[in-house]
Amino acid sequence: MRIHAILLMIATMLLVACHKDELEPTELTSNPFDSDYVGADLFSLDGAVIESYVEDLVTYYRYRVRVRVHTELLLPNQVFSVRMQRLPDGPVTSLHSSQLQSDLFSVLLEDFELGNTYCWSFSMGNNNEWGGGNNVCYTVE
Amino acid sequence: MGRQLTLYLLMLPLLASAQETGFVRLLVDPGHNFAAVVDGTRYEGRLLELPTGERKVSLWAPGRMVVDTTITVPAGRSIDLVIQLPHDLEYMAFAREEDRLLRRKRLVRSVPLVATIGAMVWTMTAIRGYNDAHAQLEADRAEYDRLFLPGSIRVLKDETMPAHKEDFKNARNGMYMASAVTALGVGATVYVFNRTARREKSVFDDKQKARFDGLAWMPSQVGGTWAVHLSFPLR
Repeated sequence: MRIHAILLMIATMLLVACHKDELEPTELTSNPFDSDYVGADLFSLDGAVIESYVEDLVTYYRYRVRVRVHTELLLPNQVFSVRMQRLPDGPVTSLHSSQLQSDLFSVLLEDFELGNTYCWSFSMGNNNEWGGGNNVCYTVE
Repeated sequence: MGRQLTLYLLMLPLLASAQETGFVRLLVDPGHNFAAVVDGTRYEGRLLELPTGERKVSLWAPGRMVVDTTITVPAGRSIDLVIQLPHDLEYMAFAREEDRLLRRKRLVRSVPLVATIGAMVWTMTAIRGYNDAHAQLEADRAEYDRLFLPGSIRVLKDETMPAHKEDFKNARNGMYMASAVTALGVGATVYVFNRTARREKSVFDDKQKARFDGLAWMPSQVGGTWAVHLSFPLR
């Protein structure tokens, strides 16, 4: 009887020792290129400057809103594309990381009113496929 | 009276030397482990020094019949007694039965043992498959971290990983099944070994030995018989 108990205990210990956790694909959300990405913001507002430009002898003003790409969340030297859209239904444009001199890029805000908040949606991607992203907003002061 | 006793003691060696002896060399099949009784006295060894004249000799060996014969021991000479002790049929039947029981015991023990060994091999294979399946999932996880194409990530998460996860579940179930069968096999093996070990060893009722042992003690002065009945286990 005792040897049976010992054998049962050994078998149980072996099974417990061999136990390995399952991998749940839906729990994988840490890759910025994953459309299910959950984590730190990939894009953030870095600042904005107002600038003027002349067109047809008329001077216009616009805001140049700087957006930072958090490349520290990517693998080193990772190439990427950014899709951007002014919310709620602005045109969709994109740029490639090769077009960037640094982690910063700008979006232009030409039709604005003081005190209003304007938002853009940014997504990280490659090959015209888009993964994680977040919105960035700027309030004109 | 004292003088007569002293004279008798002085004459004793001379009287003793007057008893002539001869030698009998026993050439017996089986060549060892046999025993001899000569005129009610038990002797050991192959070369017997016996008083001259007609002697009644009985020979026996384990598993053999007692053979009684009469020899004439010549004075100062050696003779050979060549005898093949016939097999004891009762003992042969007993030995056959013991052999049959032993083979049956080995068979009964070997079935769960072989099954358990097979189950252990199965378990080891299943554990390896389980580890491989888990390693594949870990490789998928690492691949997820490396991928930079959203479409590839989607394929990995929606198709590749679920398939590998299913493989992992199957491998785990297989390992549990194999482990359970192995545990059952080990339990059955232990049970069968305990059960078969408890069987009392058969004891051979050796009538030939009983008769042979009795030869050294009979007949007595009053004509009675004192026989010792001994049995020996074969193993």
